[in-house]
This record gives sequence, structure tokens and C-alpha cells, in this order.
Amino acid sequence: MIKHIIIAFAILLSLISCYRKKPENKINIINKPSSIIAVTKNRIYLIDEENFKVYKRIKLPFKAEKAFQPFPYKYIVLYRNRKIDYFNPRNKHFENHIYARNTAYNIYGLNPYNRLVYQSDTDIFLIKSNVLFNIKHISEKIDTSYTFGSGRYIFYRTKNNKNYILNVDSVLTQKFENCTNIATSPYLSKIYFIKNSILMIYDAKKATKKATKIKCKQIFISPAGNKLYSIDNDSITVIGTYRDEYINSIQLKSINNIIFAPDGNNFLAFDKDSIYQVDQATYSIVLRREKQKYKHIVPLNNRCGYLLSYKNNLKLITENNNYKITLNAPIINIFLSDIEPQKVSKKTKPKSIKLESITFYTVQYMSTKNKSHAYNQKNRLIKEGFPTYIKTLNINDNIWYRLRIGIFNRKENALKFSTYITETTNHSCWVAPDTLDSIPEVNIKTVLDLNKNKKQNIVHLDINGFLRLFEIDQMKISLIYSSEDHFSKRAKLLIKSDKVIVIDDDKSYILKWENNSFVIKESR
Amino acid sequence: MKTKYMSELTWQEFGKLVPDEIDTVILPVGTIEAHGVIPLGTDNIIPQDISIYLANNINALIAPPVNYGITSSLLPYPGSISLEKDTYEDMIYEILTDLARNRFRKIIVINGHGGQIDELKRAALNCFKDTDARVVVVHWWLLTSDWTKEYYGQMGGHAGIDETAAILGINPELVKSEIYSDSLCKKYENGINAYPFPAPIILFKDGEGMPNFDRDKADIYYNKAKEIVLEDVNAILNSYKELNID
Repeated sequence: MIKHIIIAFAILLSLISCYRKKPENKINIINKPSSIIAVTKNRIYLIDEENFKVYKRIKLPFKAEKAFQPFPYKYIVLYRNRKIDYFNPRNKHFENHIYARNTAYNIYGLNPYNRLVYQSDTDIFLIKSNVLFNIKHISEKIDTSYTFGSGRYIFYRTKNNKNYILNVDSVLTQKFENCTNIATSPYLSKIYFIKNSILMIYDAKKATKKATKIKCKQIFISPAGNKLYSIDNDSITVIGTYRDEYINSIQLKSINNIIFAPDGNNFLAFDKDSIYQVDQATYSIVLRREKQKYKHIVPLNNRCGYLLSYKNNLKLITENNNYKITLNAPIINIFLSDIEPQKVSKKTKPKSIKLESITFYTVQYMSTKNKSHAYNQKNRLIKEGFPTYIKTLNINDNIWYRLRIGIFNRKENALKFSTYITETTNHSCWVAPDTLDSIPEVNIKTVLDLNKNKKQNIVHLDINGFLRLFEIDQMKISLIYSSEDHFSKRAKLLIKSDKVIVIDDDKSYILKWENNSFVIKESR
Repeated sequence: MKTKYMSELTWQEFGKLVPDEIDTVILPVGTIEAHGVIPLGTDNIIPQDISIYLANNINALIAPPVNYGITSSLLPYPGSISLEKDTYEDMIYEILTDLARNRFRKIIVINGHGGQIDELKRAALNCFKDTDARVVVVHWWLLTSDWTKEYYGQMGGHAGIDETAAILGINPELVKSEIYSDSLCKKYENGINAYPFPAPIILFKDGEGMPNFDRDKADIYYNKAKEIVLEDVNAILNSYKELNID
């Protein structure tokens, strides 16, 4: 009897140990620091993937509606009300600002990747050098589109389930046969599709079609397009796309979806109840979790685990731990990035204040491709009392940093201020119109405050003898006094302890603040 | 013409072909040195394969390759062989000038090894000055470095992700992934020169460039890398033509 109990106990123990045995983590772990980027309608959060802590919050100067991360993942492209902005997570700057005619449904990279595809509901545009080129207008609504063949082709399907191949170079369209499940490789000119439950391959370059012996109900392709995953009821079959050869099969039943990590080294497979993480090198299941509600889900690159978002919540599910962060607003999208996380500083104040988009005139001081030079000059100018901001512009993949001084309501005031800069610094400037969504904060030291309103004044006696007084309020510069008559060209300006004196020949004049306005009076 | 290899032609056949029918020759160059888990001759195997691809797409012959080169920090590893820098430069210069004497107008050097870039540049420039032949030197892994970054999301490395992918694309049996371990990889630090370098796989950025043994991924990578080399070589040859300096 005791013997039987011992045997039963041993069996029970072994069953428990089998049940509790963790799947072996075979994903090749590269200790490469990386970040998670979560976008809400008014903020971008940069999160350290390792400790799952927010290390940077960037307040958006607009309400983002959609966020994309086009291959090869250099920028986050934010869309709102027919405008797109490129956010560079490396320098945390917005580097471009493009207006579009149509609402963006999808934005993706087109090899070579200085081009993006902007897909609306009825048009396909190419974005090149910040300009949108319409390459296809479709009378029916577009359901989805993808690129393939190293940027030579775009496949698109209409809402009426009609399929087309668009040749990007010739802009010619060719009708493709009716089928639903389609997978394209970004670098190969092949389209994989299912017809009568058989996997078919169409080569757009050779215009040939062939049927394989593989029966399947769904197909998915890895981000690099090197492996095709065909799904039937009992397993996932892996096919190498370069030679269209069978590679392996993964015994997972009733899979209905696959989502790849951006680097393609692992993927998540979903059945009705569970999520499985599969290592693409060994085809082994490294993680299994019960399905949860999510809006976005992304497997980690080179790590066992995945991210998911639902409403304001961002979760990191790993082998051993689950983490959760609640953000300020519902999450629009989540991305992975290989940027190195920064150490968390205690104060991470947003650098810009939100305002409506405004158009104004400004004085352009200089333009340079050298970022550190631009920022050094900006700091110098601010120290010297000029409210300076930097506007970046991407021209043919070169980022130009434009140093601009002040925000002026009127062009003529900007011109007068540019004369002041040119005459006092010997640096020629010019006036340019500009638009900003938010006005950068700047602290200009108040050294001269003639009307005692705690705002810095700048006095200028120009070469023609006109006396002008500017007031600096943050970034805004106003002309608050301009002499009607001019002094002689020999006149000299003296500023002594809050007194502005003009000495012209043997007479001297003083600028006075009287009855809420400035007047110039002869001094005795 | 059946063969693209100069050494498979008779002197009579060669005389008929060059320069009337073919005035371009491709010279593959490399070295013999330790390459992690890929062959000692990796720097030769890849340029020779690229040369075949180029020769099939442009009207060119392939000259006998120069398989010995300048190996330095990996020389102490078994099987690594090196020439002195001057010997190598003189030899390349003499081969180039003799190819020019054999009435090749355009010479394309496909290099697979980073330790001899300066010598190749000097030899090519001197050959051009002395013979007026057009000499184009291609360092394939540098020319395709943007593509490596785009496709693998990483920089390449010596015996790293790019060279391993190329060898996988040429002959996967030459890649011994079973003996690979991360300890074979080390990052090159600018402040230290160690002879021998303490690892046969040299990386240039933290966490980047380690070999990836996915054959299908490698096939797509290497095929495109060859296309890039062809496009860039063609662009140069076409420019010569357009400018009437070919």
C-alpha cells in the first residue's frame, strides 16, 4: 500500500514538474540597449526597455491622430489633420512638416528609403524631398497597399476586393487576380497568395505564376521578406522565399494570426485563447501566455517577451515578469527603437508651450548643417539678448539648422530689427516668414527696462539717425518706439543706468517714458 | 564566348577578344586570414563570386585573382598569411599595369579585405597615371554598408553579419555555425591596438555585426549586395561613356 502511495506521489511530482517546466529561451539575446516609443494624442514617451521606465516625455505641439514607423524605422511619422511630421527619436526633434491633400490611411517606406508611400483612401502618393507626388488616383476606395520588389512595385487592393500591381517607375497599373490572402516580400518581386486553399506564387518581374503543393488557409511574411509562414489547421509551415523551399514546420494548431518583431527574429502566433512567442532561428516556442485584450501588440526584438497596449495602459510581458505603465491618454501606437535609453532626470519639463499654429516674420541669422555649431550659436545669441530658436529642415537627407531670431507681427519691424543686428554685429541677416505650432521658451535677461514692465528693451540708433526701441517678450519682439525725425549721421547713442541719451553735435536728447508712451526730449 | 575567365582562354582567343570585343577586366583581390566561423579565404571567395556576377552583366573578363594580401592583427591565427605592404602594393601595381599593357582599357578591382585599402588606392592611381587605363576599385562591404544597416539593422563587421551572409549566399556549407559562440566576437576599440586581435570576429559597434546564420535572409541580402555593386560599377562606366573619357 505504502509502495503504491510512493509511486503515485512520484508520478504526481513528475507530472507537476513537467507542467511547471518553462519553455527554454532560445532567442539569441544581444545586450543592446533599446527603447520603446509610445505615442498618445499629445505626448511621445520614450521608455527604457530594460527597466520599463519612462526616461523622456515629449509634449506634442499638436494633437496626433495616427503614428507610423516606416521601414527602416528611422522616424516616427505623426499624422494629424492632413499634415505629417517626422519625429526623430535619436535627437528628439521634429525634422519635417508636410501638408497633404488627403487623410493618411497608411504610411510606409519604399526602398530606397529616402521615399515614403502615403496612402489615402483613394490615392497613392510618394513623399520625396518633402513633396507629395500623386502616382495613382483610384476611383474605388483602397483597402490596403504594400510595397515589394525593392521599391519597384506597390500592390493594392480596393474595398471591392479587386487587386492591382502598380509599377512605381512607369506608374502603370496591372490587374491582379482575385484572391484575399496576400503576402509580398519587400526585396523580392514575388507575390504569394492563396487560391482554392493552395499557395500560389506570382513573379511580377518575370510575369509568371506557379502553384505550390502547399495547402493553407492563411499566409504571413517576415519583415525582411525572407520567410513565408503558411498556416493550416494543424501547423505552421515555414518556407524560404529566395528559393521557395520548405524549411520547417511548427506544430501549433488553429493559429489565426502572426505578428513579427521588427527585426524578424521572433514572432507571436495567436490562437483563440493563447499567444505563443516563437524563435525564428530554432522554431521553438519560447513563451506562452493567455490572450489579453489589446489594441497594439509588438514582440520584443532579440528578447523573450512582448509589449501590448490597451487604452492608456502599456504592458511589458516577459518570461518572468509583467510590467505596466499608465500613460496620460489612450495610446495611438507603440514602436521599438534601437536608440540607447537616457538616464532618467528628475525634472523632464517639456520644452515647448502649446499654442495654435501661427505664421509670423522672423530674422534669419544663419543656416548650417553642423548641429553643434548651430546650438552653440543659438546659446551665444540668447546670452547676448537675442531670442533665438532653431528651425530644422531636411533637404535631400541633409538636416539644415536655421537660426532665427524673434517673432514679429509685421514684416517692416522684422526688417528694422534685422538692420539692428546687421549694424551691431556685422552679421548680415534677412527676414523670412515662418510658421510654428508652438513657441519655444526662451529666457532673455532683462538688463534694460525703460518702462518698468520687466521686459528687456533694445535701443538702436541706425546709420540714418533713426532711434528705435524694441521690447522682447519671450520670443516676441515688438517695436515700441521709432523716432519720427532722424538725428544727424554723426549722432551717438549713450545708455547709462536705464537712461537712453542721444548726443547729436552739441545737443543731447533723452528718451523718456511718460504717460504710457515714449517721448524724446532735449536734455539740459 | 563560353568562358569569362582569362586563364581559360588560349593566347589566340585572348588576342581576338581584347580589346576589340572586350576592353574591361575584373581583378578579384583579397587575403587569407582567420574569419570567425567562415573560411580563411572569405576575403577571396566573396570578390571572386561578385566578379562572376559582374562579368555576366557587363562585357568583361575575369583576371586570375590575387588571393594573398596584407594581414596584420589576425596574422597569428592559424592559417593566416600576409605579404609586406610594399610587396603587395608593387605587385598590384604591376598586375594592373600589365593588364593595361594587354590592352584592357578599364580595370575593375573587387576587393574583399579592409587591411589593404590604401595600397590598392595608390596602386590604382599610379596605374591610371602611368598607363591611362581607367581603374575602379570596389571595396564591396563598404559600398553595401548602408544596405547592411537597412536590412539587418546593424553595421557589419570582420567575419560578421555581412561577410557571413555573403558566404551563406555563395556556399552555406562553408559556414560552421555549430562552432560559433559570442566569445568569438569582440568590439574593436579605437584606443587599443592588440596583436593578435583577441577575437577572430571583429565588431565596430556595441551589440552590432554578430553573424546571423539565417540562410534565407542571407540569400536576399547577398543578392541585393551584388546588385548594388553592379549598379555602382555600371554608373561609373556609363559616366565615363557620357563624358567621352571611356
